[in-house]
Amino acid sequence: MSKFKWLIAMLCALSLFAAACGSDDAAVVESAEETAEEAEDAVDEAVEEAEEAVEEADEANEEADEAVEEVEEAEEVATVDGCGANSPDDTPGLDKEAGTLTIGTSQPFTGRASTAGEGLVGGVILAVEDINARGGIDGCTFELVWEDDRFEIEQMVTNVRKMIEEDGVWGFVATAGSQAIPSTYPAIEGAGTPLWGPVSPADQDIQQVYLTNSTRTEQGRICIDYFAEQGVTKVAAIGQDNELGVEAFNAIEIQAPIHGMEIVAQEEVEVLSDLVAPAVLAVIESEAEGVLTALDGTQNALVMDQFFEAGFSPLMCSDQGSAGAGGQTAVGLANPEASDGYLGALQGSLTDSADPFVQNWAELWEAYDGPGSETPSLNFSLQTFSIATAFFELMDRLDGNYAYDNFHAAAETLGDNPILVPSMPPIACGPLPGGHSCAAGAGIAVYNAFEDPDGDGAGTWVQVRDFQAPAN
Amino acid sequence: MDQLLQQIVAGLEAGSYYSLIGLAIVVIMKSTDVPNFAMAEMGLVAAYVAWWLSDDAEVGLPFALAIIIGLVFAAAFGAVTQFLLVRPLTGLSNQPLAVFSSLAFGFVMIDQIRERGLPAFIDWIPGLGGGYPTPIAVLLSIALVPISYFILRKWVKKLDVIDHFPLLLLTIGLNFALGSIIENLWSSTPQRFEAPWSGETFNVGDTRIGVDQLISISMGAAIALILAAFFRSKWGVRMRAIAEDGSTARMLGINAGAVSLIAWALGTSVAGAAMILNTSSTVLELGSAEGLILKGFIAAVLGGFVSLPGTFAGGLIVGVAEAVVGGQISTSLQPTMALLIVVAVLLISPGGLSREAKLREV
Repeated sequence: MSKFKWLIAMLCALSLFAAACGSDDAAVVESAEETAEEAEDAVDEAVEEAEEAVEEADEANEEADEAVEEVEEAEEVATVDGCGANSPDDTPGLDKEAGTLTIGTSQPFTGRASTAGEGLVGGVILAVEDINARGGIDGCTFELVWEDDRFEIEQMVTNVRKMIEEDGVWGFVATAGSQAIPSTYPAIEGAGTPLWGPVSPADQDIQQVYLTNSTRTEQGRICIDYFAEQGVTKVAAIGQDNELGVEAFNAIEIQAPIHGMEIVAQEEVEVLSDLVAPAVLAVIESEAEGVLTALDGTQNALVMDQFFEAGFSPLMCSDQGSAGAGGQTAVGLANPEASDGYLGALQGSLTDSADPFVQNWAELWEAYDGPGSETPSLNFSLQTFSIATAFFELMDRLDGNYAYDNFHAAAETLGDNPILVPSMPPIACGPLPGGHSCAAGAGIAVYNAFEDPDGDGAGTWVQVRDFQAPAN
Repeated sequence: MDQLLQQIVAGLEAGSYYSLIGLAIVVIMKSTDVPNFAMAEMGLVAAYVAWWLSDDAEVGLPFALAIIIGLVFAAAFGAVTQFLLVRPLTGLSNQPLAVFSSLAFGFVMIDQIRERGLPAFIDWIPGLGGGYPTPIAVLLSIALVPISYFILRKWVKKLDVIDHFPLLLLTIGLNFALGSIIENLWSSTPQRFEAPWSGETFNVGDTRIGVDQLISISMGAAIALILAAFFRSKWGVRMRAIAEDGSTARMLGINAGAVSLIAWALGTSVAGAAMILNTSSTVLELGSAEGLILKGFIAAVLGGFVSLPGTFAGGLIVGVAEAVVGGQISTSLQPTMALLIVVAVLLISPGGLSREAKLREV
């Protein structure tokens, strides 16, 4: 403290000395005062500049913070776009970390319906491989679990339970086998697992089940519409003594009166029986001009042969599954003379269609060497490929929220914005009741056993009627 | 009238298939006293062999030769089935089954050991994993055969008390197994098995008759007559004796094993003929046998499981009734006709259609 006093005293003394020794000229004093003021101004400016620099630095910091926040937000946004990010964590079949969604299908890969089943399996696998090769949907790739049900009801139920409980599939896609599928409904309803496939019989108003193709009844009605266009006035039906036959008889009873046709015979054939002769003879006796059949491929072939041997040649039409339209399951077993001109309803395009979608499928199928690749029935492959493609289109509309409620909400409004897959009629589901029959309409194809005047080769199917809904 | 005749012809054709399957069931019933639920499926194997040999498929033999070889195969197949599977369950030696199983086991082991080393369940033993050279695989397998034989011989015992139930289960299991074998060998895709006369027809008045119909009906009748003659022969009488009272017949010196073996060979040949006729007239497929076995049993029931004429007539009656009722009244009644006939016949004549027949405990 004493040193400080000494310092002040020294400064005061020096100041007095300077004042005493300095010019007594007033100008000199003024100059000193100006110098002091300039110095103060310079200090003030320096302080202001420093303060401005601090402010700029603060602003820069704020901008940096904002940038960091933006980056963090961007990262958060990126997370939301990940596989199923908007889905509940407990969504079945969804593995967010692995980026996969597991779906399942049960098909008759072996057994009595294996000719169709091999193609059905191959089509689904191909569709999954295709969507994954395109990068999947919203960050998700798809894993497919498939099981062989041998076209046996018990096995299909076992498969469905296994895929729900052990494999934890999100849903079933393109599962085929109409006679067995309804037996799986209790398990499907119990677990809430969606089923998206070509199911017939008609809609049973089950929340989880979406029918992606026209039913056998609708296809039969479209066959009769075609008969009417060809001038048929007397129509008959031959059906198996099961649900197939019931749907054919429903079709003929609904549609024949619309066209003013006379129903002249409705005949049944026992399942798995080769004894079709009584039904054939009754139809011949009835002099029907158009015959709707709902039989298996072998029985259809026997009916064609026996009509031909009797010199009886009505128009004969079957639903796609029964006719094997596009393939050889029925026509390949009949004499060529008998099968020539046989008609089949089409749920989807023929495999030789020029449509780019079908061409793309054909190229993929050409390169495919997985299960079912050796099948001669390519039409079934195209069918499930189309159905699975439609399913992926619907999943793409869910914006990563694969909760079942969201799926049902999106599916049940497809009536406003249908899914358009070029190889099949538009899929336009609606709410229950009745809305889960998503596709109405089918085409008609004719089988040419011999080369026809239009240049279509022998042994080919040719579409002769576009996809249309039944007349009302 | 023409329509009715047409329906009767169609019914006789279907009925002849029912009759032949029924006759095959009865032939085996007469020797082994068990209803063979695999009868039509065994016949279907023979039909597939004949098709495979024919010019419709791979080997390319003429139709007639393919059928003859197919029927010979059917006889051998029936005999082998009896020798390996039925014998132990009818109180006879289980040696053939044990020997066959051991040899089959050894054969499989050669492949397994060559490909993978010793089977996976002992792979944890150091040095045993991985594939082995073929000679070592063969030697190891040969060493395993006698071991498996002794195990199987102890395990697969012949029945001390003859019980029909295991035999019944055996035939049901065989039915499913043969279906799987057919599918694996020839796939489940339906095939055309065309006879040279397929599609040929002629008219009798205004009634159109297919040549295949005529051949099926006449072959059915011929086989029934041949069987009837056989059962009047020495071996036929022995067969009936075994079926009536096996113990007494054995005491009288009848070789029950040989009689049973002949019956299985004969029955399988008849079933093979039925399935060849049926599938060459329609389509060859896995489901062909399923449709016929039930009707064959109904024919056998109508013959009281004993009478050959009763069984033959029963099959024809069922076939004609189905066709005529289906054509004249309604095809929806067709599937129920066979069962209605069974109920009616059993109520009126519980032993079946023939005086020879009597009610059996099955």
